[in-house]
Amino acid sequence: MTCSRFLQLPAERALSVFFTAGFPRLGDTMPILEALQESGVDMAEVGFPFSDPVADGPTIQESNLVALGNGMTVATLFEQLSGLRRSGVTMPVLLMGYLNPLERFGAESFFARAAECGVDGLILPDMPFDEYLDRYRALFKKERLKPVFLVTSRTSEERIRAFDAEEPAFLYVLSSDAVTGGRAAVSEERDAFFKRLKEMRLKSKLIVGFGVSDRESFNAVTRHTAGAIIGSAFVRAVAEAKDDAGLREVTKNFIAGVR
Amino acid sequence: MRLEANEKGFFGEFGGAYVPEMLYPNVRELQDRYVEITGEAAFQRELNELLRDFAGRPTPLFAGRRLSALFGCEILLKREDLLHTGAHKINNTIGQILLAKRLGKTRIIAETGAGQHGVATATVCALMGMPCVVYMGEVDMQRQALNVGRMRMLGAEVRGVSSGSKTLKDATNEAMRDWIANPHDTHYIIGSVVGPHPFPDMVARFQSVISREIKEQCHVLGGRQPTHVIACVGGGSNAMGGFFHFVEDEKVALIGVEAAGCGISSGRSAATTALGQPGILHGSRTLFMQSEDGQVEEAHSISAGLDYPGIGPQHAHLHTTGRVQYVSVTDDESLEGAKLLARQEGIIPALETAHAVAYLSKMRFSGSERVVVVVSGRGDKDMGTYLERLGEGISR
Repeated sequence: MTCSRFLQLPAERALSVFFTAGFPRLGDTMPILEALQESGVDMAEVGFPFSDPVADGPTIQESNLVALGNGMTVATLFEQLSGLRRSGVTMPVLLMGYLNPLERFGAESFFARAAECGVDGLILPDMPFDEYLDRYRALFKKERLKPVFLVTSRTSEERIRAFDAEEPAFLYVLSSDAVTGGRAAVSEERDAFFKRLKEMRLKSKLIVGFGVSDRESFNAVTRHTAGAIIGSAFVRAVAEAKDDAGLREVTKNFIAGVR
Repeated sequence: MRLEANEKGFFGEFGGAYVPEMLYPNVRELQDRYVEITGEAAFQRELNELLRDFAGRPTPLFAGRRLSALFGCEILLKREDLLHTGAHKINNTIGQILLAKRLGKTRIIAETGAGQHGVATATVCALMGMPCVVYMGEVDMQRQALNVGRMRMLGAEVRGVSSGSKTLKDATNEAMRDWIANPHDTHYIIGSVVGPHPFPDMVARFQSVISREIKEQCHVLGGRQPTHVIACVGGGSNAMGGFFHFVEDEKVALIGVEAAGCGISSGRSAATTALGQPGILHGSRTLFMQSEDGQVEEAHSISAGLDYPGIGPQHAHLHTTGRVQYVSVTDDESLEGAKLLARQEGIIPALETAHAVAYLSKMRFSGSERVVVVVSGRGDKDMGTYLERLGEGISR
């Protein structure tokens, strides 16, 4: 068994990027992953689109609809990712999306195909923790994929410790009460929350998402955590790219602007 | 059979609470407290007083003599259309706002399709002096403009939703996003038996007053319980209320009427039990119309209140077990149903209700039946559609 790619993550200031598969063009999934790898990003989350993404703001909603309009499906995504680990992408890659397309594809097949492609973990925001324990945990273990659990300032300590005990890829810490693409919350309150998490001395890395969009917000949220995820701002940036060269250019500039 | 959620909120294989972590504390608080709070004597007293003095309960069970003669059986009309605000929706909004107050919430949000739930929510918010935001698809705002005006007059803010099909499904998404962004002070009054546990069970309990009264009133009207209860199903709240106390009595045939739109195989339909597959939408596992790839399909119905691609988890369970028979009628048939009730009994029903009435014409009766039709709402809001669609036919 290969060593978990999550071990490559730097101890601090890890930069992770989310994008929607099939956006802006159907075939952009691998070119974006390659461009992110070349630009020195530490980890990537590939969103598989859903028609009704309730935890997402307007930018990612729109990118989902465009991707679906382009013909993106779960089956197509796995075809695109089949050469993932032969293409020079060595960073950890996770798939992120809602349960219904996964269930419709068949959960067993979904997990198996993801593992075959060299995907490292899954982020499923509408997967209840109960259901994870009853049903999905066995699939994660079988396919050696890592789960990720979302943590908000209102998640109880008991619950956070239960998440931590599952050895997730990381804990996805929400910077504010909002859907994706919003602005990070008032910093004092937020820092107190991050510090409280840090003081819990969890085994899992804390990676912050939602409301991280640029150098300023990246620097602010990674003061007390191991890294951050940028999603909507990157999706907005690649929307402009016309071809593969454009994607590489946009990605390089975007990442340079954050780091 | 019984219709009770298990401890995780499942009815058979349907239900549950598939919510992102941001909503977990809110949903968990409701799960932990709704049975206890709604069971308190003081809560029940306040609820029943408001249902009586503000909403106008009990509603009559009216013997429709001309309809009975026409169909050759006894037809009883449960007059939810006579309630304050014009539909059954207020049974639920009164209950939920009393619950929200006891949970210390100070702001209310809701989604609405036809606008009846939005009006019922705006009404109880005015009554309780609470700020209210109602999400409504832009298509629905156009076809139900009267209800938009009513909500605004009642002091609610109506936010148009321009994503997706711009109807009820999208308004529900947007309301959930608002709740994610405002979890501390806000209660989301879901208008149908949909959403994460405990909403389907809670809304069903608040609407169950419909079947409780039907039972009592049937007792007074000669003692015989109904042979059939018929109600329209969008998400399914009036039907759930009308069926609730009869589910265990297998002698009573329960019929849910869905909107076939332009026809079940037309590609423009909302007949979920015919076209839907199991999946996870709006926080629960239920039946809804979806593509091979698990993308939610857009529903179509002439009635904004039935224009939803799914049904609540109890209905999915009642369909799968066969306890309730789900059928459908088309847009055109529903217009005939509306005319029928108007001409035979002097009641102009809502377009949603017209679907339940229209199904009578498709049934065969032997003469001994006692059929209850839930008249879920009145037709004032639909006069524009009636005038436009019936055209010259409105006076023939």
